[in-house]
Amino acid sequence: MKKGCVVPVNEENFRPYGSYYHVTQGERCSGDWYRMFTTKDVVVERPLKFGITQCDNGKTFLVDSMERHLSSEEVQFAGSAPIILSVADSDPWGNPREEDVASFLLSPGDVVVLKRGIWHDACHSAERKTMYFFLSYTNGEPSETAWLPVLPEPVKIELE
Amino acid sequence: MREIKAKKAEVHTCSPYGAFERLTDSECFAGDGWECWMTEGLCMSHEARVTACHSDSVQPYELEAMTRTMDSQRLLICTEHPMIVAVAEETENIPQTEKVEAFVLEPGEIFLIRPGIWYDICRGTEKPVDYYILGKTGEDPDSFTLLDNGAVKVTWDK
Repeated sequence: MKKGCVVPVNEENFRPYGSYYHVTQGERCSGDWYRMFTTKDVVVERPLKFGITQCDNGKTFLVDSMERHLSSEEVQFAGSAPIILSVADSDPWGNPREEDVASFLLSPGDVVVLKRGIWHDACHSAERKTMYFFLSYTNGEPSETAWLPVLPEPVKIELE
Repeated sequence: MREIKAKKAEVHTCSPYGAFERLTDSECFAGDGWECWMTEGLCMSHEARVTACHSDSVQPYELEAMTRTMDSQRLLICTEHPMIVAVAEETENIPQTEKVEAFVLEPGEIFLIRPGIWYDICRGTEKPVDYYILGKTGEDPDSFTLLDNGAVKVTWDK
């Protein structure tokens, strides 16, 4: 079984799969007891549905299935703790392929927008049980939310 | 000084100010090691930037000023710890001390504040909080306006 490698996400390494932003790239508003950072660019380009995923996994997990949305991009950002996003740019009309799987570490402040058609797993927690947030709006076709197995085998992620 | 207690956010109590939703009340989809919930409809009616906020302030606190945006909704997203959001009804120029209300949001909950509604930076109920806002722009520190009749003390009972 292929052993996956998790790398911290950045603009360059995420480019094949979509866009990357960080909240500190834009405006800062702060005072004695608060600070706020806003992305320089519009990240959510059109009205979407909003979702929350709570992930709670051990240090070893399998990336064994994925979904893709041909009709919608998907915005994702971590809550209070880092998460691991696994993606694949395999043919959207086939299955996600083991050899195409790439895994990225998203820390709080990182924001990604997955391109339409990119295969992706539900994110996994990198350190502890945590929530992350996502936005998308699919056209309701059953294939848009179907989970297909990673072929020929899952990818195994082992966290240190 | 006027003193108010923060109340648990609910759909009907938040409705004068916007739309509150407890996502974890909706249908849950689950997989190995994860569970997720989604809004039934669109969460906002326009495009948005993402703002990450950190607030060291914990109740009880004195609320002196509020801000608002006239052309953008504000979607507040609670992350790990409960937080208090103070709001007040729309007025022409100045938020009214007597109209301030405070609500507690918990992880799994979101609150879409309508354009024109006055609101404050969120504060923790027991711990400093991190939360997100989706909106057309970030916050403008110069847009915070003092309440018309003095500060409001905000408290919360566990």
